[in-house]
Amino acid sequence: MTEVELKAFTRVVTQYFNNVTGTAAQLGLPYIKGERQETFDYTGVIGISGSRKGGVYYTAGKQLLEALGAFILGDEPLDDEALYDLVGELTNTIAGNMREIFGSNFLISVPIIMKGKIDDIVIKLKPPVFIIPIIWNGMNSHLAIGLE
Amino acid sequence: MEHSMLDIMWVIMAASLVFVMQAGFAMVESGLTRSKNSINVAIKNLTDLGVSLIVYWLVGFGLMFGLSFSGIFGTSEFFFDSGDAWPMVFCLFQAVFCSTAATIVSGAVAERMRYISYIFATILMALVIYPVFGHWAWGGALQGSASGWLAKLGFVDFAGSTVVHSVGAWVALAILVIIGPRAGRYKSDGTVAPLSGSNIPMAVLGVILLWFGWFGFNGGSTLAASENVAGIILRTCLAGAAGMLSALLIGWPLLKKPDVNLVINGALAGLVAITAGCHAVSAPQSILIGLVAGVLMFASSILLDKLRIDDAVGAIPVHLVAGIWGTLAVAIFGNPDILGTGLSPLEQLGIQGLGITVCGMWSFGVAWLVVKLINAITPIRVSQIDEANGLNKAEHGVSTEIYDLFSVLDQQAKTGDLSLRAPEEPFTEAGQIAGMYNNVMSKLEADTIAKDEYLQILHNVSDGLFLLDQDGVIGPYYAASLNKIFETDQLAGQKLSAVLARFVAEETRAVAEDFLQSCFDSRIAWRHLEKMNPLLDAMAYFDNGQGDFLEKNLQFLFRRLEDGSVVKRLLILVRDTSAEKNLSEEIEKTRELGKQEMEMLYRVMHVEPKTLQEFLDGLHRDLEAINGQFRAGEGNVHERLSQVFRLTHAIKGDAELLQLDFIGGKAEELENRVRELLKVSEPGGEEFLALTLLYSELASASTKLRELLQKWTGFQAQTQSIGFDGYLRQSLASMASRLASRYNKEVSLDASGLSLQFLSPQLRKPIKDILVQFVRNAVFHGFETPDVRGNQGKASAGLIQISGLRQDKMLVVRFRDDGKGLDTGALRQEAVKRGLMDSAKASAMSERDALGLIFQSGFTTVAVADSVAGKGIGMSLVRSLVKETGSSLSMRTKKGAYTEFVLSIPLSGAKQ
Repeated sequence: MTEVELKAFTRVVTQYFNNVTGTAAQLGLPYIKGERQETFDYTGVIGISGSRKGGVYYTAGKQLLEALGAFILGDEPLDDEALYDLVGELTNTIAGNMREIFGSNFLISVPIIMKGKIDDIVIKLKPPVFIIPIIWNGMNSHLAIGLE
Repeated sequence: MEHSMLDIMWVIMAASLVFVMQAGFAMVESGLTRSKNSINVAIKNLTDLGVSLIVYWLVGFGLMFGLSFSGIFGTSEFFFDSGDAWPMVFCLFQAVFCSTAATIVSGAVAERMRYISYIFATILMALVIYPVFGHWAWGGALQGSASGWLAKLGFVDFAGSTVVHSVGAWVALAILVIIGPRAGRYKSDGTVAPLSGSNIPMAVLGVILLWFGWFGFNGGSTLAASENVAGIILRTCLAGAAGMLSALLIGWPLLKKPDVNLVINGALAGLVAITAGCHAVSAPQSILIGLVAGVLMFASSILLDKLRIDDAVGAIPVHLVAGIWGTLAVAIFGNPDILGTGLSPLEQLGIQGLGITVCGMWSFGVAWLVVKLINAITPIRVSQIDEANGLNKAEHGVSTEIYDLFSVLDQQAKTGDLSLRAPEEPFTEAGQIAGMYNNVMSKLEADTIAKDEYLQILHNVSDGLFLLDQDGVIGPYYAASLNKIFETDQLAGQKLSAVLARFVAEETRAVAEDFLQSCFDSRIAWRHLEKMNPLLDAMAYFDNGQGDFLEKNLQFLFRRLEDGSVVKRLLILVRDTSAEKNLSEEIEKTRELGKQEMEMLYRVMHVEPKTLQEFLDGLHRDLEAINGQFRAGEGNVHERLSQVFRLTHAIKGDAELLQLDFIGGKAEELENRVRELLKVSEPGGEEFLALTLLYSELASASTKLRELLQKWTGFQAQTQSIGFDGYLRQSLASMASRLASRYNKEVSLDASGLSLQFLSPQLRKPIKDILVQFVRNAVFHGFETPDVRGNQGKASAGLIQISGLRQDKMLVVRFRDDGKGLDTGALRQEAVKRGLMDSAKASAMSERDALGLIFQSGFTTVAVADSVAGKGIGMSLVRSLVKETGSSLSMRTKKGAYTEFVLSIPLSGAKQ
């Protein structure tokens, strides 16, 4: 991984929040993932292959997603399925934008969305896994990047 | 009434024309029926002619034209004969009329009625039904005055619309009601299946013959060569033509086609209708009669099918419906003066209606009763199998070439047997078709076999094989393995570029598409093009739907399939080379890792392991602490950075102390970066990315070093823990086990009492080598197989015991196996065999000397040597080593029990 690549990943996420909500997300201090589980309520995982191998996941809490959903869908109450869809949409957007940045040989899988604590995400991510906290409106979420 | 010779000649000629109508009927009916029944229909026509002529002459003529009994039936003229010309010609004329009535039945009931049943029906017709009704209408004609009761009432049927045609058709209808429709004619959904005629041109010719015969039928009914004949024939022709036209005009728009039956039966309906009144109507009236007859024929045909009454040739619409209409038309259009009945038109119409009704009741009634009775006794219908096979074969045992051809085709369609061949009857049209068909089938069979073999190959070949056409589409037949390789199915008909797009990176796919296009361009030389194959070593990425990819290495090989200068297809072979590629990458990775580890080892080997371990433990703690500062999430960023700076600096210092420059250098880079960030007033997360990267590099170096140290110290610990004795024991036991397995034996080795560790290295090796030879010798020569040992009451596994005992300045090593012992007899024999001594000397040799033979170079009792034993070297080597070390060796053996070596080694060369 290079600094340029890490920045490209983080900008995709922060710009997403800016575009959707008009409020830019802030980056927390990044660190290397250890053995501790690092996921929130909902997690979207994308496998990456081709020019780079590994994976990326975005994980966020229910509170953040509900607030984000209010911007997209209005004040309609969001059920569990809608929150799944929202993480899927966000992960898809991240994946699509990453492809634009990294070129057509940067292959991204169809995202899978998971709920709760997930143990096997690390399988798809190649260590060292960089955890980049994304803070939006005071609510925390993580972008995790693990590429060879 | 007197008749001139001209009258006689005319009626003979008319009878001849009516006779010719039999040919017409035969042609129409056999032409309108299927070829498998055409012979049967034709034969029935001929048969009914002969049968009806005889029966009519015998009885029918008398019943019809004999002296009348109360106007009901004739009572004379049976077995008719006469010396006068006129009665004879009259009889002839009436006989062929009877045959005409009889033959109408054959067409209607065609394709299902048994031949014998039909003959009975013909007899019934000619014997009773036709003559009796004929008497009612025409009785007295021979005598010159009407005597039939119907005729006396004023019923007029000039030439037989009712008397001949309707009578025949009523009988046909009665049989049709009883016999039922042909198999397959009416479907369960109510539709009518067309059962097409076999020879329409012949049917058309038959109609023309009938039409021609009608000149005599109607013209001859004047029974005189009068001036009326010409008009009668003209009106007959006009009515026939009008019937044909009206049927066509009505039927064509409704059926959306000029149906053959419309033309044929329309004409016949017109002819039948005019028959009753052709002598008493005008030419325009005859046309009108014909027009109405054509329409009625068409309408009644539809009605019959609605009623599911299967009239094979349309005899009922033509002969019954048109006959009824013609009979009524006599009253409507007939000139009363000519009719001469003295009745008003309405009265005439009533009488005509009465005649029609009576005809129906009599003809239909008698026929239905008698046929029903016959059917109850013996079925008038052929069996289902005979009907399916056709009446030609079933009833007459004859066949046609075309039927034989159809039979083969039918059999082939049912069984799928491509080896069947049609009979090739020479000089026939069907035979020529059969010949061509057989040629096609031979080619098809060969192609099918070839295709079957091709498909077998495709089903079993492990590589993906398929054909690609010029449109880039995958062919219908491809190797089953291709589905697995491409992780999909239903590939046939798909464009290869679309398939590739699912799993090949876009850049590669774009190049591949250009390459595929070039493959079909024959102007580009293949030898150049195939070197540019972009899919020769292609990576494929299959999204497994689990947020991950299944990666494969695929190798595509292409071949052009050319037709002349045009590339028609590409033969493409796809191999999954992932296993080979992965192995190659694994080897490369291992080699690279080994290289990296060696480089790192060079960098750290100057540091004492324990010190290095302590350094790495500290480094690990410091790195965790640094990452913890990043992960903390809260707190002053500068304070956290300051803490990171201190920790990094400490790492750098420790690394420099141990001269671990590669660690120190990375720590310094991290330290510098932290120092820069400390200058920033409020550093953001993005600025920390570079820091995290540097940290990860340092952490990675630390991890690799720890792994290396673990391997190194692990190896040291292992060798130190087991020592030389442990290593020797393990090695000897392992070797014994390997050798035993090779010779299907079982061995256990106990060397726990052996210690050579205190010996000098100079002594260790020869003693170890001696023990190796003892073990090899014991396993190969000494031990029996487990079953032999079992039979001798021994444990299945042979036991080797090695012990060592220090005695003063000697080490005494004892080696014992519980095998079969040494056979000195065999040793003596071998010595004689090898020419080392004669048998006398061998026998005189002591046991000790005999045992000593095994130490001689090249001496062995084994016939065929292998890599373990049989060369006579091992024990010779032992002797040399014993001598070299100044040791002494003694041995004891007991046949079937054990062999023991005792090696006494002087410790002068030992450490102590």
